[in-house]
Amino acid sequence: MNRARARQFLLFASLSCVLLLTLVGLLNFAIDPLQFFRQARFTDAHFSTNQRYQNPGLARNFPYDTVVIGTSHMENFSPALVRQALGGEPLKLAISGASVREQALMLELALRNPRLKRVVWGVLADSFDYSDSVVSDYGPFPWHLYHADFGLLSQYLWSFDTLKSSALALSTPSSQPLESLNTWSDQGSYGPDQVEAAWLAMGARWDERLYAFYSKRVPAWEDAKFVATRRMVAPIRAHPTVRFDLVFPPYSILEYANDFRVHRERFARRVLLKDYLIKQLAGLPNVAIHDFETDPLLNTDLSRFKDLSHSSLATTELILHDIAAGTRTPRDPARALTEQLVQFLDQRCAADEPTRCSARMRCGRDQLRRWLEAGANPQTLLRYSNLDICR
Amino acid sequence: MLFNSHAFLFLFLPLVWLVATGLRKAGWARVSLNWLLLASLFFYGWWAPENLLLIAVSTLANFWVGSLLGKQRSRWLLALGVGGNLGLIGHFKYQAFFTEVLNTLSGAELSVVAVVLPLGVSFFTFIQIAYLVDVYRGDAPERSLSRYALFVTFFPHLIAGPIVHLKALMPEFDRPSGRTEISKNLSVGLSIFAVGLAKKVLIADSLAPLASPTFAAFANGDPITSSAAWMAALAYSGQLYFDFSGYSDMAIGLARLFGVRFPINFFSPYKALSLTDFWRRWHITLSAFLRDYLYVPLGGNRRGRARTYVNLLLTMLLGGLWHGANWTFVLWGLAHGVGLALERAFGIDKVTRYRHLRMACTFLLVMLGWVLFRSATLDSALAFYAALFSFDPTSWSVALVKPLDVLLIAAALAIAFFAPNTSELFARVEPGIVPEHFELRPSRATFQLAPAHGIALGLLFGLSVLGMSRVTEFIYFQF
Repeated sequence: MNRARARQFLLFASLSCVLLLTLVGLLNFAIDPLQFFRQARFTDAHFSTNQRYQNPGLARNFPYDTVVIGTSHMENFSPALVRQALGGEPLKLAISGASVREQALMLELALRNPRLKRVVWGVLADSFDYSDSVVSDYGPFPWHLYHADFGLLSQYLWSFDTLKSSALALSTPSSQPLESLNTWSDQGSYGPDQVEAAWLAMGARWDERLYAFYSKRVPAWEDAKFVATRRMVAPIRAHPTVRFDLVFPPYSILEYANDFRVHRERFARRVLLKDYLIKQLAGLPNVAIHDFETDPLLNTDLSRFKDLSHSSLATTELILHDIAAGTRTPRDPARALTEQLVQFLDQRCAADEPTRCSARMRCGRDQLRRWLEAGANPQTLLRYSNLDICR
Repeated sequence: MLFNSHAFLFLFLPLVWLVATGLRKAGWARVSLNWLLLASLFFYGWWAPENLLLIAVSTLANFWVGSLLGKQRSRWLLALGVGGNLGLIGHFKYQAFFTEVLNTLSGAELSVVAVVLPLGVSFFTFIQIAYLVDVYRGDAPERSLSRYALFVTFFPHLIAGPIVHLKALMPEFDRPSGRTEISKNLSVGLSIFAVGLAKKVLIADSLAPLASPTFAAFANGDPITSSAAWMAALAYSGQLYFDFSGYSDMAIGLARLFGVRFPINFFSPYKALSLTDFWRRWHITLSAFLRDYLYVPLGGNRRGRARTYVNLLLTMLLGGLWHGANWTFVLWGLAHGVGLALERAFGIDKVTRYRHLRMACTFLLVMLGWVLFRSATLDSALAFYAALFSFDPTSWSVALVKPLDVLLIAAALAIAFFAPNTSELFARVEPGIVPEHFELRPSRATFQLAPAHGIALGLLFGLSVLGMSRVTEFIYFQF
């Protein structure tokens, strides 16, 4: 075996590898199925429903002056509805199940667009449960699409997944317009039966597991507050020329009752987070806060919901209408929501039915009642929220 | 940095290789080794820089104890060194497990200290235990701290083996490397690496989605059909083999790029004819470690039948525990120990007839063991076994089984059963240090430095790169 043969071997190996990667890379670049480099040129515009991957391309290459940021609760805010209510040229960049870090990354991309005037941001307490992490339910987070680094070449262009999407784009006509991308308001049915079914589906047998799982995972309250400051308050303060509409969407009252099944401080953290954000942001001239969470006409009207928290198209339309009207300024939301929950639990726990009202829910309710009686000071809420003593 | 990550493949590795080779060609061999040490520390610190302190302290302490043992063969000193290493691994890996066991047995309420398991701690601890024992037994200790540190941290073996020995590894760094050797090592190293990468990315990662959801479902207590359980068990058997042997091939290929031959770690384990044979072929360097540093010191087979069986059980039980601090691993190791003892008691490993039947039976036993190995808890493992051997006819419905999945599992296992392994594929070019009892016979398919093979391996590497878009962690990292 001599050196010449080894060199010849290396030459052929390198050439075949480089040729393969170049061909695939060029094809993927030309088709660009995520429309990351440009809007679709050679094929119909196909949109991936994996928002973590698709949204960066939308933010970079589609026209807009208004964006919708948030989680699945904002997915029905289709551009047409937002345009109708708020005007402008809207684009939806919500990501189902997104952590606040992911929402901030999305916002960061959108803010690079100098035309951006308005951000409608749905705030969900769950988004802060991940500390400062990205969410990995869909595999590794595609950092390369957000930072446009070396990974863009190696992970987007040199990828079987992208090649499959390119082939699909070449072979099939587009089936999903951008307007209705990832909307779900026409899927499933709504009403008390569906909400109660969702409650049962969470399942009594899951209570202890969920409680144990979240108790380990959820970061300390101080950490959640730090993340809220870093990922939400700071970018809002840093962009005074952009108007931010912070929306606290309505959930069914059962969602809050469910908090007792999930984590000992979950309800308290939800309330405190909102209180903290309002204190930090309400006075800023570029911020409007819209509170739909504490409206009993919304959160106890189970006909509006398909599960514990996802509401109907009519509710989305109402929210957009009221954002435009500016009529939903929060008023002592911590006390208001707590009173509503205690009242609801009084009714629900009246009968001795463990599937509807567990011992931990009763115990949590009693602690909240004591907190209300002690003056409902948000500073002391965590002290009244240790459900571990309820077991 | 994973071997199957773009940052490693296209930035770290080329840079490290170019500088190391350049320095060596310029006659600065020592500087080249120091460069490799620096690169290895960077590689390790990439995940968690704070772990660098741990590996530095561990390396320094073992180097010091080794030097003292070289001067004075003291049993107490050896006990101190081995005890220190076991204490380190015990703290990081087993503290929570044993605290819980103690709490259960005594009713105490000792608190568990939450610690993050440093990557590769089981591997770099074991190679240093082996080093201390070897020095105690008469091997010369390494005089140079930087060479010793390179032995411990050399990045191809640092995270998941193979388990190497100083006396075998360090001479490899000192082998002459002219231009011909460099070209040959580059060709052979890249080719072995490409095969390993393909095994990991194209096969193991394709099998993972066929196994993981079912194991997760059992862990959640969800009902699963028998057919789904069999699919998952078979898929996981393939996944684990191609994942770990692929990783070992990559490590061997990487070392070869720098002119270093590693011991091979797998030799077609699913072609084994008995459990005894299986452990000669699976994770060979760990088996050898357990044999040389545990089974033999316990007395091996020299102290009568009963003691031999006890030694086998103990060795395999501790081998199981090495894989993880969980009762599932303990029982998995124990089950293999019982299997090995029974084979020895009834002379099954000496039978020469019924070759295919024995191969199938061995695979079945190994696969059943993997169920325990992969399950999150004993309860979920028991539920898995119940599903595998369910008497409920409806549970055997194949309506939900996808033909493509069956094809994929069958193809992967066919490769494991019938195709030549990496060592056989590279028989002409000394792929690694192969134990003497394995015979490498070159065939037509055997690798040669020919243009056609170059094209094939280039394409294989390219296809593997295309499959890397979703980076997944190596299963053996947790050990």
